[in-house]
Amino acid sequence: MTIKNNQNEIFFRNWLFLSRTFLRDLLFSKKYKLTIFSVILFLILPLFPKISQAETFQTSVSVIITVCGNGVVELGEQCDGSDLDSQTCGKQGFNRGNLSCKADCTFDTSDCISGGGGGGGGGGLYVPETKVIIQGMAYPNTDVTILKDGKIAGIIKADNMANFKFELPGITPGICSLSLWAEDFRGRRSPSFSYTLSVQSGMTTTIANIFLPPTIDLDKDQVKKGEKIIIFGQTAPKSQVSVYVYSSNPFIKEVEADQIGAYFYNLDTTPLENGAHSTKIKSSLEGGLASDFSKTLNFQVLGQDETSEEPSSGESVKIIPANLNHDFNKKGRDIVNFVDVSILLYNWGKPKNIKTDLNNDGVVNYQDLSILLYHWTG
Amino acid sequence: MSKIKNLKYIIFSFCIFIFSFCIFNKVSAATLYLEPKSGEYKIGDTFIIEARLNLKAEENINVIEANLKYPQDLLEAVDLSFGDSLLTIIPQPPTIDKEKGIINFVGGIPGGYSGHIAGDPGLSNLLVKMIFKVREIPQDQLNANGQQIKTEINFLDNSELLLNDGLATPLKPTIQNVNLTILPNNQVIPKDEWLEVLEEDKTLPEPFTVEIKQDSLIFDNKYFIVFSTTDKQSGLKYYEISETRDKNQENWNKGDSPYLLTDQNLNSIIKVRAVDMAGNMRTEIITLPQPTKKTPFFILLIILFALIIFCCLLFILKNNKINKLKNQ
Repeated sequence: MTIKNNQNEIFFRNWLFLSRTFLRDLLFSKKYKLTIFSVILFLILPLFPKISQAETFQTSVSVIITVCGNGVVELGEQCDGSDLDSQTCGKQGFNRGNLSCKADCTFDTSDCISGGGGGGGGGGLYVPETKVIIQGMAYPNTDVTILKDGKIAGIIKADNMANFKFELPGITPGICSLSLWAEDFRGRRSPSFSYTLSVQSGMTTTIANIFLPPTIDLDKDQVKKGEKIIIFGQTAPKSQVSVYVYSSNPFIKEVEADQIGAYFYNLDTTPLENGAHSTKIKSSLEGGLASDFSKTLNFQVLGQDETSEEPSSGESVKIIPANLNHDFNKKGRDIVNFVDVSILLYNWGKPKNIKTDLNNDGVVNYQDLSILLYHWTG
Repeated sequence: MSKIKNLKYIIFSFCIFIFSFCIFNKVSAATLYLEPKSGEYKIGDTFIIEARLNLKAEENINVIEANLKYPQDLLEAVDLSFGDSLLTIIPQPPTIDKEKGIINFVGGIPGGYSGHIAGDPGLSNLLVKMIFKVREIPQDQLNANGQQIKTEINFLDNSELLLNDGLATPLKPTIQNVNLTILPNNQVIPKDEWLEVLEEDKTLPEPFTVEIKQDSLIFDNKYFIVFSTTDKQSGLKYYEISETRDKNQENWNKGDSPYLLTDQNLNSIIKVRAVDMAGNMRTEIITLPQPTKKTPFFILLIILFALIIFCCLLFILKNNKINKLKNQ
């Protein structure tokens, strides 16, 4: 025992000596100082704000999926299967009885009995179907186009508060890809947003809290330093609109949308340096509903002795290159769909027609497909 | 000597400095991975490896090009299935280079893919299912490796994601591979996971429409048809097209969209059939309008009309003659 204790003591003393020596060398030796500095930098660098444009401003979206038929009461459901969310006939205004849940996750009070006798509501056989419901906010009184697996499934009009709700019955269970886009009151298009989800057989899957990003436009894309640029567009009524301006010192300004969802912001270019800048928008509402970013628009700040090119509105009236076959809908808007993909595929590799080479790199490949898919309308 | 040592430390420190910036400013959380992450398979077994994609919250991609390497001396790549895949557009058939053991596929999704949504009961991030079969491995090779061979299937570094930003900006994903253990087969019948999938698939491919188009950018302005669908179970295998005048006759030919029509006069009944890997078929039909033909009835009508006019003219002329005679 004594020998073992001595060995332990020796080991401990050696360890202490080595540690002390190592620390002394680390702190006071020149050749180690650079190493220490780098290691410290390595450890603390993640704490510094990242410098890339995409990561300077954090986004938060609040889309959620709820499933009626999974036995768990979720947002928008009164009940689900045997889960009645602690509700009873009594709490529903009846005297007694057995409260149950219908297949559409609403209460079945047919077995509830009130004082005058007889229960109310419910009844009838409900056969659960596989269904998807999409609901959210776009722009007031405008059309929202819904695509399923890249094809138009329907067009719904948002109400005057920008709310919309669309049902897709008879969906095949499995992976389902749904896309949405909307046009505002001036025909400006929102970016498309896709939601890929698993649809369960015999259940209703609801995608809620969708908030399409605002549309954005500029009154001019080139100004002399000190002049103003108006950034405007449409979102949901009374939204808080955050205007992000990217320059060497990015900044955010807040404005409020009016009762029809229109917003505008007068950007003073005095503090901006000469050169190219960009801007994009996002909206939020009380209660935490937040949109993703709008499209990014570019503008140029010119010096006093620079001349501007012929001013052009940020709103494009040209045919977008991805609309390869130049077809338009009844409102005169470009259609980009499977026909354009077909034309792209026909020209795959070395293009027979250079118009199909969307990024002008001399070859038609998956990069051109990506650009085309970005402009997809269905 | 001490100068050389100092130089080494300076270089080492500089590398750590640069490395710090590199990894904390450019790394993406997008991850390409394979499931199951590991597995044991016996000689003759047919098994499925799924390629999946995870994304960070603010990432949105619309095209992926993936290249994978598998041990071609140990495994046979049987097929690829896009059944229940998040990719809805497959511009080119996937390729399997059996000599080099490389699988390549490209796929796209209109509107992009943003990752898992809170509350979604499933993963919804499947890209493709790859079906492999374990080859007959010589017993000597197994004996030399202690009755098991460890190998892996991995994504290659040139796999790429493209952002849904209109600029095809590339996004370099993190890659996670799968480790496999090959064991001798002591069973009579090898397992076949893919056969089980095929036997369970009783669902047709999704409904679709067929459009007739004509454009100067394709097929020298000749008529062609466009069609596209998906299959949520075993995946699409091929399309077939039939063009006949008689609705009770069929003349099926394999083809893809866009498909150049043989009958450029558009006189035929066009049928397009989507067939999935389990043999389930969905057929969509376009009946084209027949051209106007001059039927005998039509000709008779013209003759009758001409006769009526002729008679009217005769009657008028006759009346004029009688009136002239009366006046005289």
